[in-house]
Amino acid sequence: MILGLTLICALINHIFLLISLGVGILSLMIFSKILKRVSTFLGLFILFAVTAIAITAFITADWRYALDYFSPFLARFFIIISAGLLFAFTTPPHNFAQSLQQMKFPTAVTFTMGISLRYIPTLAGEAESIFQSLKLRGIKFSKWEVIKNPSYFYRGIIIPLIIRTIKISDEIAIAAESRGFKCDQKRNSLHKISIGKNDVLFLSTLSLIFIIIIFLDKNLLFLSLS
Amino acid sequence: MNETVKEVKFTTRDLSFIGVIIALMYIVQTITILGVSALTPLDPLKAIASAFFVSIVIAIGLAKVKKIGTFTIIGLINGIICAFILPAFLPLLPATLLGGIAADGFSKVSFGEYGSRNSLIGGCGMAKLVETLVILTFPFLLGFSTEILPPLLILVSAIIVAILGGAGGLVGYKIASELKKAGAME
Repeated sequence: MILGLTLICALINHIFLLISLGVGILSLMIFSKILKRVSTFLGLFILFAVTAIAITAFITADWRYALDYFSPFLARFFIIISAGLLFAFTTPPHNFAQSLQQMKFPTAVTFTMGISLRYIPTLAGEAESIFQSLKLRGIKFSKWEVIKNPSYFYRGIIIPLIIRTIKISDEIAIAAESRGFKCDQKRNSLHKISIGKNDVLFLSTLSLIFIIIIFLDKNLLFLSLS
Repeated sequence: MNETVKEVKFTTRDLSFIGVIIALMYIVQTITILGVSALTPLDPLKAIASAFFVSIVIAIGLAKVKKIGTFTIIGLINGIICAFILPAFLPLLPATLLGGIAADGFSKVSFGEYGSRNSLIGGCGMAKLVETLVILTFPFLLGFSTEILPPLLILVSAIIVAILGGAGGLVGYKIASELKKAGAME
């Protein structure tokens, strides 16, 4: 879906169709009940869009030019980001890693990706713990303090975090090997992910919409009014 | 012509370390890019800001694993995460993947493997150079943006990012050396 939308965005030139596609994805987000969770990211995008348009309008002293210049770019950007967010917030990371495994991606890639996705929050937590323990010892880290004494930051946070990272990775390796994991062997899974009726229906509908949009973009002259 | 080709095999320890390093790199990358995004929407500045800090983490990973191919795995996985999960922007995948392949190719030809100071500096610098060139031109080539940045600005940005990447590689090498002396890293 993300690849398809990215390619479609590159092919379509009419702003009306791009906006329609964006509204379509937004509707899918509402239907998937993830709109509230992605609102922070969409808010950041809106902030970025408004800033970019405002800066250009200020420099050129022409609001219309700024809008004309940025509209297609921002519409494409919005569609790609929304499609990615829709995927990210409706697909559990372990399912994603398992799907790649079933698509015959090398074990080195799927295993490593599984670990990366699993340990992002753990390492963020570790960094927070190290930071808190420094605070308990009376070491305060303001932005100015980090610039003035980078060695505090280096000795206090970076080194402990890397040592913790090495320990965690060793523990994972021992746990994986003790469960019979081998990098050069095929992995199997108790639960297989398969393409169901709903997936086929979704894919067919999406393909049909893509074809209609490309047809409209190439053939209908009235859209050029936009 | 009886050359023996040494096959590079990653062990479970290597892969688990690369996985955790990518997680750490992702955190560092997100913090620096979000920090810069709050100040400016310009893409070259985001790349410049994150290059140094991200390269430190990558260099530590390379210094431990040492095998050619490590950077490609890092680039591919980081690219998949950035393209499909967050920030969910597809052009990041070819950028990080090509950067990783370029760094591995450069280090294989010039140094044979990672581990030496120059291989880390060169590898990180090369990866960041290719990454920046791709990320600043790919959206235009795909048609996301109507106008490309001036070529000189792209080149200057890429060179600055490559230098910062190399500097990050040097710092990463020094940290890895210190950890090896302390016995915390093999």
